[in-house]
Amino acid sequence: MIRTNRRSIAAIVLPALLALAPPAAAHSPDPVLSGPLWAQDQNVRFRWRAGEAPPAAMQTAIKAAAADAGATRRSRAATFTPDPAGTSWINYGLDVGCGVNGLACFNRVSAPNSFTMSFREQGHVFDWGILRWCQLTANQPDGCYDAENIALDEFGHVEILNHHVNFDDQRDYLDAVVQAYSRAKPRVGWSAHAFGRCDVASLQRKYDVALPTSKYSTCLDLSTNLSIAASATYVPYPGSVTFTARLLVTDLAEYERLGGNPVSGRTVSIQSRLPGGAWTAVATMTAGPAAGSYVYRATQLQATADWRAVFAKPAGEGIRGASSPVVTVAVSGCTKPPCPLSVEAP
Amino acid sequence: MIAVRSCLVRLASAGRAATVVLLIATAGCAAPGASSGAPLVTGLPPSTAPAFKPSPPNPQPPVALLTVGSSGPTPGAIGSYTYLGTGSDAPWLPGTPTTVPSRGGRATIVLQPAVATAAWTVRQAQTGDTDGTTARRIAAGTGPIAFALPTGSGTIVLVVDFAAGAGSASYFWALSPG
Repeated sequence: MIRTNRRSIAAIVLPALLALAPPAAAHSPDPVLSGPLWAQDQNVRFRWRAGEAPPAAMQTAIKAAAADAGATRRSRAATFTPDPAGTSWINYGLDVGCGVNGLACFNRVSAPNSFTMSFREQGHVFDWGILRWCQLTANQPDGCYDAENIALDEFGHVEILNHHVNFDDQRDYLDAVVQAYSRAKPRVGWSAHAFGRCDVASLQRKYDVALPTSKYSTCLDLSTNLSIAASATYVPYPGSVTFTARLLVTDLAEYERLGGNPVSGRTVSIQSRLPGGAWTAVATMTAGPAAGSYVYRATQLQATADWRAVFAKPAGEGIRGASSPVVTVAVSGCTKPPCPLSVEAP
Repeated sequence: MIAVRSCLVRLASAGRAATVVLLIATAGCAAPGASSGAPLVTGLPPSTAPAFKPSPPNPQPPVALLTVGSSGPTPGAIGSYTYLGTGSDAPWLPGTPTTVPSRGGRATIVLQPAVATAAWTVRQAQTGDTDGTTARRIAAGTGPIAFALPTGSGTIVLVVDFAAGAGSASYFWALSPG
């Protein structure tokens, strides 16, 4: 009977889940689930399921986890807000759809309309032991599970995240909250209350970053593209030229929503060299009017030179450095006025 | 009132007949083992939400059956999984006790019902490991799950990525040489 139900559900759902997801390598961004995303910045409201609301301390922890998800997503992923009229529900107790060994579970089949989330009851007897929620156990003894941490893991799943693939020795366990092996107190990571960088990386890819100035997760390694344009490539002596550089995340399909993003608020420098000479740093470009643009006005130009913009890989961010193509600005050979009023490009 | 409702919930979810529910509700509902207790139902807030309906079953991933030589098949203890838009989170598990040939041998694992897989890995951890930090990969592949099982005891965990992005699941066995 149960098997028939499972097959029926699979027959209905599977055809809708055809997006292929290659297996993730260790230490890469979290793999993601198939299925629909929430809208960017969608505020998803949830309530306690009637008659199965968690005890007060668990409610507090779950609401804290919802806030953690919103505060640490570093992306335009959905946020979660408690609301008695919410269409999504969370329950606690015996009537949960979790696996036989599951502490908690989720169902996002109805995304982007609603989700469900369930938590096993305190004292549940598993083959592996008795469930103790730290929030419901006096003095939070070793071996208890932090409901806020577990709930944040579930909210990560609800967003779209699958379990992070760790190194064999799990030394990167703290890179993700969405983990395949939940940890009890006092194991490393048992009380993490913020998405890890590899959780964030996938949230950013799926939902985008909030602003051009937003930092990219260090679990990413995005190539960037830096262009440069000069207001003129042939100027009189002593001439002036305005250089405008544009820094973008390279537009690659695997970057999903991040591809082509303008990147603002970073340090982009401009360099010059005499033909055949070595590059010399000239200045740091200032923010331009457009997102991802940087400008520099060079004045009193007295000799023909090559120019380029350079973006050095920043520390603490998952984007690579880039150099722009070279633009040559020729300066008229006339060095003593009166020079011709107009010049022609060579 | 709350205790009776808890019983109703449990029995309804198990698909019992209404008459049984009524009998149990009037006679008192025995908790299964240590899994429930009075403190759990304190502090429930008044709710204005819609009336209770039993949960529809979430889709469950397949069972994984381990065979080593002539021993088995033994179902693995299922840990965390994601499957068809749902999922469940569990700790590192000690695994299903499984006696295997002392010399190790050729191991195969089949999924039941058969589900297409994209990739799989098998790791082995030392006996007593409670969070998998001693686990090391002993095999990985695509297609049929078959590998050489090393000698010795310990826990092995199979992680399967299902095809078509359907999810992933982990299964545990606690090996003891026979």
